[in-house]
Amino acid sequence: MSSVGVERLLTRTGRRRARIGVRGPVLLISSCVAFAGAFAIGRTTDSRGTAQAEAGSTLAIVTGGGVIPVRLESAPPIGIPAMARSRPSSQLTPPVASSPTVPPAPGVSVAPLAPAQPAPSISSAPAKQQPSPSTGSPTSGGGSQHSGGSSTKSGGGTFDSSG
Amino acid sequence: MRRPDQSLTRAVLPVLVLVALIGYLAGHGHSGGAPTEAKRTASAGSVLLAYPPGWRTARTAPAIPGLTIAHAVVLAPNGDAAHVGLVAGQLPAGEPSVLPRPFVASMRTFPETNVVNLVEVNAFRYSRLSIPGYGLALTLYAVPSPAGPPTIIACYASGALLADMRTCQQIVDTLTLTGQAQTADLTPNAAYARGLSTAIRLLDERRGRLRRELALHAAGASMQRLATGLAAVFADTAASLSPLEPSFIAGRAQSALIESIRRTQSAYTALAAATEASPAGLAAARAQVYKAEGQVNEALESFAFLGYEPG
Repeated sequence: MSSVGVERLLTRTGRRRARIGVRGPVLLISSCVAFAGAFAIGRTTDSRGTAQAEAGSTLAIVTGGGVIPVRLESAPPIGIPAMARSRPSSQLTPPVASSPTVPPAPGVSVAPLAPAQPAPSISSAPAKQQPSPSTGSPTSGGGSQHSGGSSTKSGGGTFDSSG
Repeated sequence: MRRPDQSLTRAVLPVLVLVALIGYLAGHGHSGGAPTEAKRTASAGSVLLAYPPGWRTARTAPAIPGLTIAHAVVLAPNGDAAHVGLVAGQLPAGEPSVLPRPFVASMRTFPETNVVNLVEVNAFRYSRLSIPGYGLALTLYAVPSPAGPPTIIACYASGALLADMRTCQQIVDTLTLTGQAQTADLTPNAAYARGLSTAIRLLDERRGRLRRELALHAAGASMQRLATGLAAVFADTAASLSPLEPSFIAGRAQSALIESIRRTQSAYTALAAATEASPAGLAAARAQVYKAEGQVNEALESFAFLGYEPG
């Protein structure tokens, strides 16, 4: 081999090493970027799928049904003639002890016992709220009977039959 | 000069693709690892639940006023059920609205009621519950059974731990009822709701008219006639409800409703009879009417806990 041939061989090898020396880090960085990007994509798609599966399994709500009244509409109280004369018509929430023969017509506040017109119901406590409002039935009288918790709900004597 | 470039490119591209593929698989497997972790199971009575490793069984949970859960199993993060957790067990059978009457009576407002599909069964879900004396967020899942007492699962958490409610819901989703061959379809029936609503609205209309007249003529023969008329109105309503065909779950509520309506009919009949009696006797009869009508309202309320919208 001549000296010229050796020189050419050395020059070619040197250029190749130089190219590889530059592209090595580039290749490494490219690999890292590709890995990181693909990792992120994989993670995102997986968590999305998991979330959808969870949501689908726990929040599958069956629709249908309909509206049912949850109480009777309010009505005027039932009067007792003898007591009607003895009670002031403007008395608010009559005490039980003062009128032993007249149960405290529950939720009835301003209702005379024998009114000339149906007495309006005035709730003495907030009505039981409902997720969806009543569709046409006034709940002021009926609602007041439920507002006091278990004692007023289950206690029949506290039923509000006032208008 | 071009040959080395091309050969390098040919060598690098497959390497990059391979690296990207490994990255994707690594990312996909990373977040999917948690759900596939081995879950543990807890059982009590007929209830079988799978729960994640972070949760453990606990001995007690904060009592829910008015709700007595038999054969209870308690689960909580790290076994500490003081502020967040799950209680599963069984409720007493025979209640018109699945939930115990004292518990329903104690509610300040109607909860949001939905029928939800769990993996194996349908359940009523009661959320936004407002229970006096209970300061934790509470969601209940009730699974009625045609053959036995209903199953109840309570998820509760304090305000700071609401994220654990989701984990609780995921545990509820794994509910399996052992030893129960049949489960009920809880879907509310729109046609049934229409029939029932029509009957109750007609009752309201006729009752309201007669009660207004009764307020005007609260004495003697007129009162007797009106009270008798009111008894007839309730009798007609009971008769009109009987042909309605409720689902298994609404059947008990309908029976309670018809029973309460018949009691009200009897109370009005007694009121009519008492018009000749003393004021005390009349007041006692009136008290019975109020009580019976209150029971009608209670019976109607129970439908709101069966997935029907309160009207």
